[in-house]
Amino acid sequence: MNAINVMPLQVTAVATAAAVGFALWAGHQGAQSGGARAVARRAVLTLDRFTTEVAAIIACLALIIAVAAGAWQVISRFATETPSAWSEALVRVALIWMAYLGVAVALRAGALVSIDIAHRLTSGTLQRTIEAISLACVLALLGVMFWFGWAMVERVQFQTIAGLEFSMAYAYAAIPLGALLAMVGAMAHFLDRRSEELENAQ
Amino acid sequence: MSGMMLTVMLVLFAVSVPVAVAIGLAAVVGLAGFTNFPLVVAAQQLFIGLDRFPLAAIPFFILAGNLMDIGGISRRLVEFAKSIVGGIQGGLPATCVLTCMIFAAISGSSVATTFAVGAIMIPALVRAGYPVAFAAALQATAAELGVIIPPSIPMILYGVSTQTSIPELFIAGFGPGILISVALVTTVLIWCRIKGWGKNDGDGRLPFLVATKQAGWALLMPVVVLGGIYGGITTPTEASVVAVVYAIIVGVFIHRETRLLDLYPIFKKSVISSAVIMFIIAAATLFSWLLNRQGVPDIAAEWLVKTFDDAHWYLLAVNVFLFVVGMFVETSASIIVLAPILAEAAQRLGIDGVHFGTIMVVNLAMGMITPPFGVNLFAAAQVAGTSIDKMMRYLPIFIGVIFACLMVLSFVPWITLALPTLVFR
Repeated sequence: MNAINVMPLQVTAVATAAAVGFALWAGHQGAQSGGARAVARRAVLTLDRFTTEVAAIIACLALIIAVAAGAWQVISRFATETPSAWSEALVRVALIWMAYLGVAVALRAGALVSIDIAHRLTSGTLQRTIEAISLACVLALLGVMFWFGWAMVERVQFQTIAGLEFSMAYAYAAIPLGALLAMVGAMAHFLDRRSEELENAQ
Repeated sequence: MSGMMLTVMLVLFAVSVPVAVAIGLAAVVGLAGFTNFPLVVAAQQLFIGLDRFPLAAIPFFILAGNLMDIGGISRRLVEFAKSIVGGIQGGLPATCVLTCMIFAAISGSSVATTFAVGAIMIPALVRAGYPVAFAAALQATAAELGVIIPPSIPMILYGVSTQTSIPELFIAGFGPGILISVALVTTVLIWCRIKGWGKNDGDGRLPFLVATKQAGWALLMPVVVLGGIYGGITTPTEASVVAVVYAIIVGVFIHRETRLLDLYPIFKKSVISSAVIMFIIAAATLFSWLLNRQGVPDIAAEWLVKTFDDAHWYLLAVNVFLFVVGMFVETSASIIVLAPILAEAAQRLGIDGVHFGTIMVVNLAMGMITPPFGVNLFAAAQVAGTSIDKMMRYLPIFIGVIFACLMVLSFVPWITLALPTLVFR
């Protein structure tokens, strides 16, 4: 293993374990009746309502920008017969933003595709354990994406995107920011489970 | 190391971890545990995996499909199909197949096709006296055409991950799509004769011209989109943008069934669907990149070529292998990870890349109706309010028909290759 990876991975592992422990505590059945657990659970869900809506709005805006830039590309090719240099790059950047912020919205909605046979066949504590393992895996991957996504943002800040006049860092920032918002969404999904996997499957 | 990555991935699949997360985490384990790369390359690959212009067609086609659906398109297409084939015994199941076929030329996804067409066709079939489970099984099967007839999300993924021309793949889908449609229509017509179902299927259908006029704008959409690609005017991605603009104009200004306020939920739904699939693409790209660094595709292809040594045996083996994979694994991930390996071996055995890609897509589309993990089954069961267990009574025949078509397609290449050869070569 490369030495650079060790510390971030340790931090991610500890933070993930802590977060899952917290989620199990806050989501325990006694939580509905009041007390510290209920307060913690409500706090996460309130935070989530805000962060996920922000993620959804930015992602939708990014999709609109991508459609507009794509439409402009088609029109400009017809009108001037020279494709514009920036529109293709803008479509790609906008869709990367849409995708990584969309992951936060999708995680909250329980829309990520999974082969959920084990989850469907179990119930009670065993099912909750499976959900907790899932949460741990999601948070661990998001932790890696956040930490190293951020490292990537710092690394590319002096490169510009070909065709667009701004720094590559603005494009890469979608990964750590999306991962951060997605962590909240994943926690909220664990505490208040929704399952819209099928409605959004392709 | 690849063995370790595979094990981690399968274990995580088994405990219901989301597919994208399982693949991504397996890659991170491989990267951190068995190589000397700093993990920033993971973030880099997750970026590069999506930073490809052809992939932009995926969210655009998803958005266009959702916009068309809300704009009252599916209902008009059902009436149109019914006016053509609805008049005979078994006309309604045949209408279902034909509608899916036309809808497939607008949508790139089979689940979207199941929901859009099934919401109208399944209740109609049940009202006409067909068993609910039969209607659901038929709808799930026919909706496969969504990814076989262009546009098609799996074909875009195959094209991107194997450097195969997407316009050629798209046009190659017509032959197989028509073959499967004809086979399914024939099957249901014979089935209805034997069971005595659907003697009054022709009741209440519109005259052909009225139905055509009603569905005109919907029917024109594939013409505009595919015409743009094959007229050499637009790339597939640009064509997908044209599809979005067309769908908005038709829905809001011509049919007036979409209000501007409806657009936010449609965009949000499209964002979620796109993000789900793009997250899988990004994670699978990272996974596949790592396999590539270890030289796995080359070694695997060499082994495959040595073992099978003959294109026919290889195609047969690949079909059986993908049939099993399709039962358990999600389509996009299978294509991105497996296509580079399998296509490399196919090429060395002299199999045309476009032909092979079509076989792979048709086979994995069949995976959408094979339990335990078949997305079309889940979707159809939900629309019909029935269970997959009950559908199992009718499914084996449908799966058998699709598998037979797949064998014909594998060993009679011209069905697939006639059109691309005519247009491109």
